[in-house]
Amino acid sequence: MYRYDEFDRRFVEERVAEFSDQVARRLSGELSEDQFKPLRLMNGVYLQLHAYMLRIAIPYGTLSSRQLRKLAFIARTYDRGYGHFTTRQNMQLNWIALKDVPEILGHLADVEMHCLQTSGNCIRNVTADQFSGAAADEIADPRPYAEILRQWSSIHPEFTYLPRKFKLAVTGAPNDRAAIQVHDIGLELRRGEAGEIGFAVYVGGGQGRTPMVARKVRDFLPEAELLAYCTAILRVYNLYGRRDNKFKARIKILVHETGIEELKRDIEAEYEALRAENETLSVPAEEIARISAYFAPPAFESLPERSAAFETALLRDPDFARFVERNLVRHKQQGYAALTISLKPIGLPPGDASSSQMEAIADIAERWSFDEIRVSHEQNLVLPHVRLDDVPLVFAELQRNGLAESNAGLVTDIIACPGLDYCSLANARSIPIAQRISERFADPARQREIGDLKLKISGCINACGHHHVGHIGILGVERKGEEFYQITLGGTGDETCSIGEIVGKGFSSAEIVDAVETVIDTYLALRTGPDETFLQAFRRLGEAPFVEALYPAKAA
Amino acid sequence: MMKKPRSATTLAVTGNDTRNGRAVFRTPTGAWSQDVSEAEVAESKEAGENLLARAEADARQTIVVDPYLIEVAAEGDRLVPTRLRELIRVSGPTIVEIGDAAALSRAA
Ligand code: SF4
Repeated sequence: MYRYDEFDRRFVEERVAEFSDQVARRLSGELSEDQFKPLRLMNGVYLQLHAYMLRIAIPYGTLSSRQLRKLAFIARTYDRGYGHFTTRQNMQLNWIALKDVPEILGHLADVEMHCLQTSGNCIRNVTADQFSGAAADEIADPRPYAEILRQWSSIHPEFTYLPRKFKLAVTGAPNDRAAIQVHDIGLELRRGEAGEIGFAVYVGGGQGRTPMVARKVRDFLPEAELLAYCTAILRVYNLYGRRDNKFKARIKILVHETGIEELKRDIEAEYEALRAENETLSVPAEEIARISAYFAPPAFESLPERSAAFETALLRDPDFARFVERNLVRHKQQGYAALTISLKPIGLPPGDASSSQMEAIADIAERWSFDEIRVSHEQNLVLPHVRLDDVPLVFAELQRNGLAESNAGLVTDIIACPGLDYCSLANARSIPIAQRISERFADPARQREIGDLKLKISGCINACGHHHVGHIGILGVERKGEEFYQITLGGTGDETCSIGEIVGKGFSSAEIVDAVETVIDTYLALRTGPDETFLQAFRRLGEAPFVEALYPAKAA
Repeated sequence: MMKKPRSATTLAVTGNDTRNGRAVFRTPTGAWSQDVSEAEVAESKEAGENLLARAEADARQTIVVDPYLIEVAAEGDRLVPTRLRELIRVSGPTIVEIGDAAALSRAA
């Protein structure tokens, strides 16, 4: 894992001291809320419905056991004993008192963490595949590049006041688990003809009120040119991005209004100018090697491909077999596996973990996963490197802590934003809908019959719950004081990225779970067989049969 | 689910406590309480504006953040906000919080 150097340490300590002073001045009345608000947002402090909310950055979703234990401690000491993992691979604490924030930031700094750039019109936490460094389909570990981008973008003076927030995501595998095409810049690691590393570069994806799939601007950008090219993109955006209208300020709108070909020319021209000025910002090979060393594979043992302990457990314990079927991911290292810890227990809030659970996971990771934990954008945690021999032991430990839900990628593995239960921008609640849907589909056999299905819920058009890229997306709206829910179908954030289509008028809170069931039953009735996933079936059939099933009167 | 009342509106003023961010309501004594039933109510637009002006003065004194008026209705001897958003601010999340018991009770 990356460790802070002297510069990082000093930088974070200075910022903690600076913000502590600002909090004290706010509490003493020296600063008004208008003066303080931009300062607190720069430090990840929001004001929500019930309290201040602190958003803690987890760069590219990678945590050590020590860090996770510290998050558990902070949640227990200063909050209500749980944390919420977000679709940006961050963690949010919902019940924070302002006076405690300086102390919390001090604790975070002790484990090389902070809350900077988790808000505001700057470059936000860089996200990556949760299976980085582990996945069998990976071309190379994206985290060194995510870390290079993190260092480059941290308090970058030129990019601190962008027209709007700016999000980057990196995948190291062709199977995109980081949803790069709905980011402002999406990077896909590739190898060139001589085996050298580079990136396909996508620009202008995003969700929110105007969802758009990113456009490719470079098929292969050599790794050394990464920062220079990103600088060129940011410069073009900083110059031409709209500052007159908050809702049109993201780079996706610039791409849309300017046209990708013209914008590409602008970016390339800026890039040429940068090079001509000798401001090439090229990343020296030694620096890439230095950062990559932090992410070197752990000391894997040479193990056989198969494990007797693992296979015996598979035969003996049907619960274990179900867990393996859904939550185990093939590892690049023979004899190892990556495991998803589902934070989606039936009937409970998606993405939440209690302090005791975080501590249990930290212990498990320390003992069985080289001290590493990942946060996925799907609001689950991951143990990236577990010996197959140890998977039964890990499973037993997870079971003991209520963390062994075998539903990764199934209908109950729902992404839901905090919604109206916490969020001051919400129009409707998300979590209770997720809970009711997961209860409706609680039967493991039924979930398996349905198969791979991504259901995503947002409590307002800001789309933090990624509903636009849900196979089934649900958007909460308010109509005459009542909560309503719009359904979109056919979205996906993977390498075949598409935005879901709205099927028709919204459903009341009482109707929405039935409506979801109708959609799923329609799929089950019309699929060519169990091998045809929901998304494949939707792409073959189009929305018509689903609309017909949802709105029979209209169709008649 | 709460619907807007058809009758004349009763107003109270709310904001978030500057220190801990909790939803609070201005009481007739000028103190701020987490209990909406203790709120001072205004029965007319003018009285509401007057109440809000006093709350804004409190905001300038760093007591609360961003005060605003909400509609409330009397239910027996209690006051209840009419909008779901405000009801949730008063009663807390409508879901089970999974925090460890001690932390949940301490911070409640
Ligand atoms: S989508 Fe809306 S309701 Fe949900 S967390 Fe984001 S801003 Fe809040």
